[in-house]
Amino acid sequence: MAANDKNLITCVEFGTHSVRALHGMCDKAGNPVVVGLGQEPSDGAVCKGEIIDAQKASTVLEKALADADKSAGIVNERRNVYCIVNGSGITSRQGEGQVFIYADDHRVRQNHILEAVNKAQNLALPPDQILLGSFDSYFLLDSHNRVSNPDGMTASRLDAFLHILSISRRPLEITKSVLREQGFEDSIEFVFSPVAAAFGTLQEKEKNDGVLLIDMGAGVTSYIVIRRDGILASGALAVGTDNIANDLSIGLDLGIDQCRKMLTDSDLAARIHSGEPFIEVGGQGSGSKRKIPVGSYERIIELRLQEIFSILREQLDPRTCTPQLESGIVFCGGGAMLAAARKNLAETMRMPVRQGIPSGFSGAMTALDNPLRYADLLGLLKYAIQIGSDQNSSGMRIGDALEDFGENLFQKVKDLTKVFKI
Amino acid sequence: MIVALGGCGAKTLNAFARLPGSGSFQTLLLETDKESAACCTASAVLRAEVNWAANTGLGCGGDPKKAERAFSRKRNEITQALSGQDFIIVTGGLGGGTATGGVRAVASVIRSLSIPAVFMLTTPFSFESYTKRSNAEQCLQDLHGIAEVLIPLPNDLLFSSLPPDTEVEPAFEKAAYELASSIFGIAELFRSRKLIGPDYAEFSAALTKAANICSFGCGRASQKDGLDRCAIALERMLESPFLGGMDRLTSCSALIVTMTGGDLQFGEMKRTLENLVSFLPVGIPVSAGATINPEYHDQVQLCALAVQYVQTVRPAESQVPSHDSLFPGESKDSFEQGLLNLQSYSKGIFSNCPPVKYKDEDLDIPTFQRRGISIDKGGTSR
Repeated sequence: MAANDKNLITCVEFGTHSVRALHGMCDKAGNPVVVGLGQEPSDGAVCKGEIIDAQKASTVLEKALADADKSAGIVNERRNVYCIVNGSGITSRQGEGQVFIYADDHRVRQNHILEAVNKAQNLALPPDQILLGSFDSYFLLDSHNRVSNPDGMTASRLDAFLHILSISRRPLEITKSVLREQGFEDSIEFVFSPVAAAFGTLQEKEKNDGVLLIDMGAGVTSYIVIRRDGILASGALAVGTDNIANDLSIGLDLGIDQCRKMLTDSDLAARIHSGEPFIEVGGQGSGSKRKIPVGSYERIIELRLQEIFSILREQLDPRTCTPQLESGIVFCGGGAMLAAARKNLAETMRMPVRQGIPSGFSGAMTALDNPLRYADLLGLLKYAIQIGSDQNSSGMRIGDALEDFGENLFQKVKDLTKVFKI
Repeated sequence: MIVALGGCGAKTLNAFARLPGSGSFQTLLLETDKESAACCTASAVLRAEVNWAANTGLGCGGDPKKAERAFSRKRNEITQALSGQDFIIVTGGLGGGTATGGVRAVASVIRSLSIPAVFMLTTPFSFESYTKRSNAEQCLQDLHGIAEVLIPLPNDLLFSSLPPDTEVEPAFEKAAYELASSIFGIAELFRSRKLIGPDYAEFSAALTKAANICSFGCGRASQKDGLDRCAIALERMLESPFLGGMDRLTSCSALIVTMTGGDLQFGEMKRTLENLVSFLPVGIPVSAGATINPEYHDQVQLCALAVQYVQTVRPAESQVPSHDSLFPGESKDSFEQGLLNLQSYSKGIFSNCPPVKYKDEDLDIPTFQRRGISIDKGGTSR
């Protein structure tokens, strides 16, 4: 049966492994409900989180959306969409803005906060970069009192520190054109992958105490550091589980698909854990079988994982990040399903690691073979619901704010700061 | 537990068994040659068959790959033997077949069991064949990253303190004794009831801080040897062949030292450690420890691990001629010709993707290829 649903939220992800589309909505209590899901293999359309073949990506997205519509039992009128973005084209900066409070009572008010935030956002971006979003990092009162929400407090000077994300123009425009081709004309909202995953997996206590979230996919490993509800750092490295599979393929003379399957094969993992010395694989073409030492298999995986996590560790500022992360690391994405990855991450970062399994969702969750893989997509649904509830109170669409930044600056900045509070 | 590999490991375990107080340690020999395995006095022996079709019991003929595959087949037994151990020391002579190939398999098992381990492996003499030396170097390179603490002990150090007229057989027996004493000293660092002393984390931190060259010295003395037994132990420690002489000590970057005794006195401990530290360069970190072992009675043992961090060489600087030189063509540093790397790199599925660069490395090239680590692809199954 077909029906339109105006409250339906569509979320899309162009992953290196597969393109996914999710339909969801918000129930009366404000909780996210998954209505339908569709996914199709990327088939080379996406590499390291960026679309490299727009035509193929459009075809694959069409199929994924059709699957999602079918599983939801609806015909969705495609107007608005939320889309995950990832890849090495995303950069982060810290913006600083300062305002002096001359009022007699020296109370910080909304206009002071907005003015400081506006100044902090006033960063000159390179011409090839577009503003993706800005998030509160923290505020300083009189240069030394650090707070997350200064509204109503007393100070002579207010400093706002924002975490500003920008993305390369080219991949964003390509993604936009693919989405427009599928009928999403009204509003397209782009969200950085770990930001979305943070919405889906983190608890309030973790966001307050300090947590590092790492989202490891097939082509990209991205991260975000959150403390006292502000983002301190974020980034992306264009290396993922496909690199591990590629290393195995070259090192052990195996096909790439075979290596991808081996990584996620729980039977193989159990056999290795029980102490089997060799992995028996069928020979390519000749038909003769080959025995690969388990040590070789583990060695290749370990070298790559150590390298990835060592690079992430180097990118994190040890003065501001790692000492303050009381909640440790939340690990999500396809890479988090690998036991070796979790163990290696804990050893390299020297912090406890937990799997970031999305929580608080209902509906067609059985369609998800492993919710860990869908942490960012499910998180995007929660993000969209939060934006929607904030829109209802301010009456302003954030997509428009991003599209034509500069008009009605005060109103747009108000909405930006109100919504992008992680 | 002390795990020894190959023929050198068997001789070391035999020498180890003759040391007083060594009976409390468990020992395990991993060998491919049945005759060598039969002569060893280890608590347990695990023999891996290289030619398992004929079951000849012969060794691997100096081929590390054969040894690695033979021990890979015994992975289950090795895992069972090592499970439950608190601390493992692995020893063997690199360059041949059994130890060079087997140590990779053992390191993989230890890593999967997450047991703290120290690898003390000897490397061939400089006059030995190129194949042996390159096998040893390749093995050490492969172990970096798996082994948290790796102490290579060059055989050449044996000649730094042995008289040149020492006969060959006693020289090798002394080498085995020295290696056994070193292993005993390292084991004592973590085993006995500590009064003060470095723990494994401190030990590991000193050795993983930077690429380094290690040397180890051990000296023992009792009251029968003289009035000041600690001074005599210090002298014997300084004469240890694996320490490499006073030069190594005076140029080291970090030092881990421990004294063990049955009735160690505070005054002699303080005096000895102060004397030792006086030889060292000013300002280097020293981790000193003292342990009590009643089995020592009136003996004292002084063990020192000297770590020298390797300075990185910048070849570009050596090629730029100095402007201060009277002869413009000359450069102050001598020019070293590098090796041309003929290994071809493959990017596989990322061949057509733009490179992902980090610190001048293309991350799409497999990590093991960029690190120069050899991988055993296995053989056809029978």
